[in-house]
Amino acid sequence: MTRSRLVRERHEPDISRVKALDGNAVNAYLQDESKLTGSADMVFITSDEAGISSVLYHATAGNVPVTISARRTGVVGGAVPVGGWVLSLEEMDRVVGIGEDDVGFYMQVEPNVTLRQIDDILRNGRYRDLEEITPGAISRLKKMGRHLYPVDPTESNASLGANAACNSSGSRSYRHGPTRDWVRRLRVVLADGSVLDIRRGEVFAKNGAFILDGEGDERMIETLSYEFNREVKNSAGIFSADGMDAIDLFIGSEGILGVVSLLEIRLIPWRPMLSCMAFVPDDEGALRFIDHLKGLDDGPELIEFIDRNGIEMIECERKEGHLFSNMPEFPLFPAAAVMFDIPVDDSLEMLIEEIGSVLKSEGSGLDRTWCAHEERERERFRSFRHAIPEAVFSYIASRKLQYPDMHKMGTDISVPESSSSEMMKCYRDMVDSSGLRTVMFGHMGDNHPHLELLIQDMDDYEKAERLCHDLAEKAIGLGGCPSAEHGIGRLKRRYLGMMYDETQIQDMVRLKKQLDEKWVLNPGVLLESMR
Amino acid sequence: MKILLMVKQVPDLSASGMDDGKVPRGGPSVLNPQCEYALDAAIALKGEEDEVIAVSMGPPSASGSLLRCLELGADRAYHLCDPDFAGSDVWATAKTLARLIIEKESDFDYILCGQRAADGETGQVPSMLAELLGIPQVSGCHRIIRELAFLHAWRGMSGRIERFELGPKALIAMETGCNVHRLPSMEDFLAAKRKELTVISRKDISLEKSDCGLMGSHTVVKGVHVLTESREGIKLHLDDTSSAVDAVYEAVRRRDK
Amino acid sequence: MKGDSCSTCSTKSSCAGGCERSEAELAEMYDLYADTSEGHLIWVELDYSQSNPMLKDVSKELIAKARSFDDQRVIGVLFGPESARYAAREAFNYGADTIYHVRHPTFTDFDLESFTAGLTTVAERVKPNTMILAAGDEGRELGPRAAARMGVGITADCTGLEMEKGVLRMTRPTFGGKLMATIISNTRPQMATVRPGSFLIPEKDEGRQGTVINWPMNPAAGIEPEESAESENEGCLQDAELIISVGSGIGNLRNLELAKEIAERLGADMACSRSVVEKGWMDQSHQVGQTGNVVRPRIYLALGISGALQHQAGMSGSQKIIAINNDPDAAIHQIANISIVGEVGEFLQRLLKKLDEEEPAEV
Repeated sequence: MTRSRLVRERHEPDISRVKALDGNAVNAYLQDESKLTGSADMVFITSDEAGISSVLYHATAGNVPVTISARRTGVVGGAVPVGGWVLSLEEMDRVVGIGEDDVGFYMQVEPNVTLRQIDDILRNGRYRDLEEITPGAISRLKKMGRHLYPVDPTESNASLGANAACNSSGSRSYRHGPTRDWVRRLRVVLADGSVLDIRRGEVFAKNGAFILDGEGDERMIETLSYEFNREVKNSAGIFSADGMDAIDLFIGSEGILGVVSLLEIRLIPWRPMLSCMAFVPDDEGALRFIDHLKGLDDGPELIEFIDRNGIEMIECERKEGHLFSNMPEFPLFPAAAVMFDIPVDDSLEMLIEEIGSVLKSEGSGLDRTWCAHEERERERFRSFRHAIPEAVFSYIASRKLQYPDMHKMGTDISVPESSSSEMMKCYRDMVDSSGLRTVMFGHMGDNHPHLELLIQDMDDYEKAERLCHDLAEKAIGLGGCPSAEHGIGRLKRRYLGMMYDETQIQDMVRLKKQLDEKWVLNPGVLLESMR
Repeated sequence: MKILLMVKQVPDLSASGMDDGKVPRGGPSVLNPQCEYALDAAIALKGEEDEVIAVSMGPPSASGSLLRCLELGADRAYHLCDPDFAGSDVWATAKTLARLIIEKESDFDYILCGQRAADGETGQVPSMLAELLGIPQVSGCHRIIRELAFLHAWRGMSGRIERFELGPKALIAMETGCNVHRLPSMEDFLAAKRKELTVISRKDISLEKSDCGLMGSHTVVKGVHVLTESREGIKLHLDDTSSAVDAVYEAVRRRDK
Repeated sequence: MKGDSCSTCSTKSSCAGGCERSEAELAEMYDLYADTSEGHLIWVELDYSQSNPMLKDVSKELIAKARSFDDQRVIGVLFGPESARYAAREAFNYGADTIYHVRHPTFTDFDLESFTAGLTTVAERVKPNTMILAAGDEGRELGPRAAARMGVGITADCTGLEMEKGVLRMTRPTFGGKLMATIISNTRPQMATVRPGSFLIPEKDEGRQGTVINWPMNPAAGIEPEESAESENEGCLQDAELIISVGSGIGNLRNLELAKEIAERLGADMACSRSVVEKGWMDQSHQVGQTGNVVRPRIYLALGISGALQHQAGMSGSQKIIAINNDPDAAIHQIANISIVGEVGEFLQRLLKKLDEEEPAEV
């Protein structure tokens, strides 16, 4: 029998135990990667869950807004405080240990642990300081061989807590899904300081509600009534589904419903991979090639795309000696590039030959590719994947001297597989008529390419804004999501307004108020502040 | 021209930390950086009629690095792999490599190798190998070009740059080189799998047990300890007013203690 | 070397495994397995750039160290023309007892084949217990070549030597310098190359004297450089007092330019990490680390460097390390005397501003 009851735990609220900063010392916490600057009176740096609980308890009691801060790598202003307090999780960066259940191995981490930390431990077998969450887990993990946490957002310095808050995806999510699919357990601190410990598969909504348990303070938390778009890679809005698992309330809700103080994430066995990069003379050919890859049985682990403009930009930077001067010449130029990882197993040779014939039909060939299997070589590949954003940043940065308000403008749109070709056509047509210079790259596996707009002057800036808006509208019309990866934060609230109507948004407001009556958690994130 | 390319596989130290007192294990291994320079040089020197043969002495995983050499253009490879080779010091290593060369590829023209391995870092095997084979050597090179059957090698030594003209047979050890490393194509990858990679045991090269591995080594490691760096350090944050910048300025201009 | 008192065979290998020729009791009775090697042989290097050839500092270190081992003779081998013997006196002042002067006019320049021949023939005559060379560019070639010719073991790049009842315990760094290994040799002479600067140079004893033995030798047939020119990209990083080093955390080329400007103002040398070289932002000659330069400046300012082991290998000998890196978990923060968490670009701008205030540039 499933239950729908969430039991709250309590800590003794003692804020004096928590390290606090004020005055000029808060300055380091006022910005994230969106480059917006906020303000705050105090910063609390918690070292444990009890600390988080104390801060939130007092914030609610004193009606003080609290903005949650971890690594501040977000690009939508989620960690930028709007007065009040900052709750910094910077000290909660311990990888606690490894456990095992009948599905497989998992890792228990504090919220400020980064993907890089996790990768380092799993790749190098550094289990020495870790606890055995279940007896014998580590020794069995060592025996079973190297494992992997499959969600790999580009920003490897982001915290796991933030990944959970945004339901982040990465290049592998095409195959393995976003963060949501890999979170096994969460401990969440609510606005009043009480704590929920939720394991996936244990608490489900009944008749559209959960029961929030507590001494003399029992209440109902009604879930949302709208249909959450699961068909496409989506991080916008609070999760909702009939009979949903309680844990999913807190994944993708960008910290407005509670603060994560502990996570357990699942791992999968690592497989040796061949990282490949194929070059195809034109964008259309590359997209056809990608379709073919998607159709394969044991298909690629990830599929990334860089369009012809992008490759041209890299080549430009390389020739001028700005970046990439250690990169060899492209085997085909001009061309678009498709990056993909395929498993190294017995069927590899056959698969490569099949890929070869598809490439031939698109005017390319197996000799116009790059590949790597040794770890360090694959690292070099990964850095190429980040090469494009770097080139774009560099380009924009030099324009910023003339136009200090300039910021890079890009789209973060994903559409369902069925609308993919129509959306691509849309990109082409709308970009052509805008006359703007663009570069497209990204996670083609989930039909989620980034379109980066290169802005020369103020005219361009306005055109770009219009273009982004039009593309977002079009995507929504096709059943897609305009903010697939970065979240809504403070900067993209208008997208929420485009995706959901007023009733649905009010529904989210209602849910928020049920869990955070005074609206102290991350006000202004996702939903307009009701303070 | 027949070029023998001696390579080594080492732990990837570019990212890892150190497990106290233990050699990093379980982490990824890579082709030694200086051997990579030698590989690039060998392939660049190679013409249609020439052969580049890669050789490595190491545990089973070393075949990965040999595969890499084959992908990037080496024609065939030898993997000296035998439990009896374990524990070799530089002398035993040089002896084993020399024996392979004498037994199997004694008609080589040149030997190219990396100067120093990223783990042991002694940089001595090239010299010892050259001596055992009785051929001249040029160490610490950064550039090689070819002129018909001759090679010109440049290296830095004590503040000078020297250029050597070499005829067969000679050994060149690369310390650095071009930082643009080629990437093999998927075609190269397939082709490499079909190239000859011969595993060589001690008996295959008629080497006595006492002449290789731990038994054949002349030096013994008596102990290993981790150097714990302890420095009196102060930690600052850039936004702690400008004290960070002041501290740096004072230190640089010697105005601190 | 072990088995030296025995003339049953001419094998030079160590008889550690037991001898097939001599009966066991005989061997014991006459102590045929005794090690009769004695004395410490040092390759003495001279600096020919001045009017009179002078002993290089590193040779002073090694002679003095060998002197401190025990009461066995310290023998130096030096190569050079006639005039080189004037340096012999200095060698005696630092602790040498005998100098073998391997003479030929061309020996002012390093000649691998000849020097190998010279060292090994002297060693054969002297049969020393230990044989020590400096691990400079030359020693790194000469040491192992000589060792291979003599069929003995050699330990390279030592930073420590300890003599214990005739056994030399050699310490050297491995794995980027984090792991120190102590090694002994089971052949004689026990050979080592030593990193310059590992030992102190004591005061000279002007009154100390010794014997010079002439060892004339013709140059051996070997290869010589066709060209030899002063290096432009002078590795003067080794001598630099102030080094500003950039890592990939420098972020972009504009920050790099800023760093270069500051370096010029401060009179500092520029250096970098391997990743910067790989990006093509700076030349290999500036690289500090395992596969680059090893430096020991008074101040090493690390900008945006993570502090990976292979970089630490090149700079951990710095007197003072100042690190600025945005990542609070970067390893460099653990070995820095002044550790700053913050953005490199911003730091450089503020430092430049500070320089403008304190030391206004002349217009």
